[in-house]
Amino acid sequence: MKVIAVIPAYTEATRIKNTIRAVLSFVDQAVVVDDGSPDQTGVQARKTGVVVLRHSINRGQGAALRTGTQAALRLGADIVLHIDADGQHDPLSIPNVLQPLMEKRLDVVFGSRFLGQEAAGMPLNRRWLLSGARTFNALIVGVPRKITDPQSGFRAFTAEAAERIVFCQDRMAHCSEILRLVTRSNLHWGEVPVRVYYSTESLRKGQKSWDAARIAWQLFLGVFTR
Amino acid sequence: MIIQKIFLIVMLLALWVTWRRARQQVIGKREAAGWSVIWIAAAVVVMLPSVTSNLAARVGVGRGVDLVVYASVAVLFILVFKLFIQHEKIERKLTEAVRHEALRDLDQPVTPEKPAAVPIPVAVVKPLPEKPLLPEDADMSFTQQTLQAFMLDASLHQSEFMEVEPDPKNLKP
Repeated sequence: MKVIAVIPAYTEATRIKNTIRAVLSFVDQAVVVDDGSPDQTGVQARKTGVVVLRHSINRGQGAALRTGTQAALRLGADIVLHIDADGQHDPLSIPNVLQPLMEKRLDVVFGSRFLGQEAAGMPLNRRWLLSGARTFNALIVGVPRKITDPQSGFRAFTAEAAERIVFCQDRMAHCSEILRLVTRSNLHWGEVPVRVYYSTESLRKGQKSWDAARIAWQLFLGVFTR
Repeated sequence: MIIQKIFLIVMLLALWVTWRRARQQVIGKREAAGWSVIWIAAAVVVMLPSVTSNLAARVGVGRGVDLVVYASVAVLFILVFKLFIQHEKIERKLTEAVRHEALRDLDQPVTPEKPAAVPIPVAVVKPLPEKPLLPEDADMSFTQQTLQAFMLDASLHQSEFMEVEPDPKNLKP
């Protein structure tokens, strides 16, 4: 089975090469989407020899993931893996995510930070926020409460599932949107434990606490934008 | 009162422009009718302010002016929300366009190993004449030979010539 990793990247010039190399040891091919970075992200990524696509304007992580997913499908992927560029997602967890798809037990696998493998360095307020997001997802968005990680960007689809799940949220709300679309479809889905590392740098660049309100607003607007 | 007259003139003007645009088929008849209702209602309120007081009393709001303010806030809210939705739609279209452009690279991948194309030195002495250099029925093999000889000469004396991108017009087969 051909596994293609999709890595959306924005201003990751210093880390992208290491991430790609680490990911490539677990997948067949990688597609990096440089989301209009003003720095050398695209140049650095090309040095590794993987397919690099560039958004001429920054369109957000969701948009980059969708571009990458379409590219992966065109390149003949049987499995499409979504993974962050900043090295937060431990590449050693990739086999965990891929296994249920390889065995054809599931169509979509979500990596979860709350299924045993302790996330290293997760601040307490982030933990509270994610627990709040879980409740919000359940009550407002309509994502089953048994999903333990409401904002995980570490996931994999079979090609058929990737074709069917058409997510339109360009920015951060794509996580909740994908969860809703998948859990409401007749696709077989499940969660597996993954390890995530929090560093001061990734926390500085990553989502801020007030982004939660922004995500809620984007999801609300999304309801009317069809 | 003067303010009433000014408002009335403005409303009449708005009504006139609305139907003019409808005649020019800039807006639809239904939209023009919608706007007309707004202009006429506004004109009525301006000429007979007591109307709002009656309405306000019926709705349960203290004063007529308050009712107008409340209604305006509601209308503004709806308009701003419509703008938000419109903005989101444009954003998504922009993403679609950017994605389309990005995926085009997939068909022609940029490989870093391939060396960049080196421009062929061609001497440009003066701008091309208006007339074609050769008649239509010229012997093309002869032309090609001449061109090749010329280019060889140019490459031998590279330093003496300007280095420019080859002009496809000059390299007509």
